[in-house]
Amino acid sequence: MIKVTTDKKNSSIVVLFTLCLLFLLVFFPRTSPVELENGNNLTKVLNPNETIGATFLNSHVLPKLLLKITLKGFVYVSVGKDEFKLGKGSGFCKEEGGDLQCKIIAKLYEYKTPILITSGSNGSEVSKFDWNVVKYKHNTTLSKVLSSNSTSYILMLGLILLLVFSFLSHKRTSLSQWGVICSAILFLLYNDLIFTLTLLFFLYGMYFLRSKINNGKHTLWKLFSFLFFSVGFLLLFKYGKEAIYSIFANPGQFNLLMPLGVSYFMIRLIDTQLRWYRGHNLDVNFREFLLFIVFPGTLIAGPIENIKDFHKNRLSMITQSDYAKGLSRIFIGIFKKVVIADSFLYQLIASESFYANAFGGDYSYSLVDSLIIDPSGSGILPIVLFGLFGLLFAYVDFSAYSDIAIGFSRLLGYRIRENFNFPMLAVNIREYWKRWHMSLSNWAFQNIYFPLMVKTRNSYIPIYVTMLVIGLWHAFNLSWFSWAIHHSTGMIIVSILQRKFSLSDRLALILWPLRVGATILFASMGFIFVYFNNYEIASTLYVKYWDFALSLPLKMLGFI
Amino acid sequence: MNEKIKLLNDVQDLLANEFGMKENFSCEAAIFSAGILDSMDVLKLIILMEKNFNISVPIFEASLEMFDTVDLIVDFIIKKGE
Repeated sequence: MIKVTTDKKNSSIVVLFTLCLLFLLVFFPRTSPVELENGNNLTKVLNPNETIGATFLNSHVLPKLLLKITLKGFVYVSVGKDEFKLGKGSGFCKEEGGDLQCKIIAKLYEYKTPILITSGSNGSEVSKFDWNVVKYKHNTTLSKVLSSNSTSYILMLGLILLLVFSFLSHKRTSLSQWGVICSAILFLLYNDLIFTLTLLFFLYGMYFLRSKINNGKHTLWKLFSFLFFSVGFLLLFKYGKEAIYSIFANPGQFNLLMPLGVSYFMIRLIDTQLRWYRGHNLDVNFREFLLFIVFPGTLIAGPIENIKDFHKNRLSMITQSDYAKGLSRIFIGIFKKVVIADSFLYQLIASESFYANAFGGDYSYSLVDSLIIDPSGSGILPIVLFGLFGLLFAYVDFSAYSDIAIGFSRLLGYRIRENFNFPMLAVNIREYWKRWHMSLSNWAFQNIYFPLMVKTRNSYIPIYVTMLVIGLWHAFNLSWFSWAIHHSTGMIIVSILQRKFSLSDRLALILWPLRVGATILFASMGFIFVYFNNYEIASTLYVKYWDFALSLPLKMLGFI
Repeated sequence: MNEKIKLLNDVQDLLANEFGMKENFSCEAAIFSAGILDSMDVLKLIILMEKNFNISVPIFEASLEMFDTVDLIVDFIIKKGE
């Protein structure tokens, strides 16, 4: 038997690097996505029927706010179109030491949203007004395109024209591929001229230099500089766009939102660069390279193909059966998104009536709102259900998107790899990650886990690093950091257990439901970090979940 | 050519002895992507390859895809042995 010994020096470097990252995350300066103008106006003794007001300024998509108001008497609060009655006996308030502590949750739909507090007819006093953002999404170019009806129609028309063109020209590979590239680039140019031109220039440069990457001396350093520029390009446009565009006299005339698909361009580019470094696919021509990077079917959010399989799986001709398969896949995706995800699963989390029927209450809060209002006081059942419904929603939502992307790519004549393989049936968290967002986990395995494992001679440290990179690729914050630690620790425990114990087939069959259930619950715990942008709420709920899970067996033993 | 056949046999033996795989495992059949060996086994495979065939596996130059069949493993050993 051979003994595997960890390379201590390289491992320490990796661990040290991770700790620095944590340090950076904690002290990373962050600007709030919402600001309150004239907030001082909101605390005051109010005459009967007097109104005071302030304005929320918001730069993101639908931020959700938790407002905490301490008051005496009875007031009406309106935030945009939402109205709340706060006073004794209202579901939003609790009496504490003569004051009423009221908590409401409001969404901001507009860039400027007024908040107005109007006193009841007996006068009142607002002694404290506190607020924080619990959830928001970044504004993206896509949300801008889809929020305007006319651009959506033009986009639809463009996609149909693209399909017709593809269908007619598919057999003439070169013509067809240039056509598809042009359509993607036109779309990108329309959204963001400067970014697209820079991207094209950058991609051409990378392509032109590709043979240098595994030639001559110091190839490792050359590879690092390739990767450095690619990651730098991503970070520059993801986070520093305003700064770049401010060199122009009037930066406001440009689209300052995050460029469409930039994270995915870089993922595909990095994979290709590593393949070049290993000496593969160097004979690819610029057309094939560019098409792979900007392919419209997977442009926005994957699935992440690799350049070899992408071209290998190009259909030699688009037949009727491809159209049947592609279209049915798109319809399945739309059905999953509209009917299952948005109209059913999302309602379980966000509808007040579901919460009132399931847990009692007066229709003031939904399931998720009840957790936001009082994370430390919430029962275990709402937390567990929230995790489960939320995870299922995320799964159906994202896999629906992947269905549409795979179906559409098929119509364009390309068979793209699957992204999900029923992750809810995984028997442990390691298997779960082989089934969930497979194209990304495979990418991360090949390009992060594997090289680090070679370098550190350790199977476990690279798991942490890989999950951290995936997590922080989503967003650079503590929630995703914790998410990564949660999942990687789970995977490491599973692989240690797998080495120590092996299940007989019969036992595995008997334990199957238990293992599947435990895996889903474990994954859903991680989802708590994904959902809330407020770290305090997420970590409180997470700790409560563990507290319950760990004390349950002890309690059960106590009863016996 | 003889050298390649010898290497193929050596790798097949290594897989059978160290990982309990079938003897004379087919040279073109997938190992990792078919789930016969696990990503946790690959580190052991790399260390054995380095020890038995006197090569070194540098960071970034290998990928799991390059070890997926006996044939590919032997190609890698030959390339690194040069």
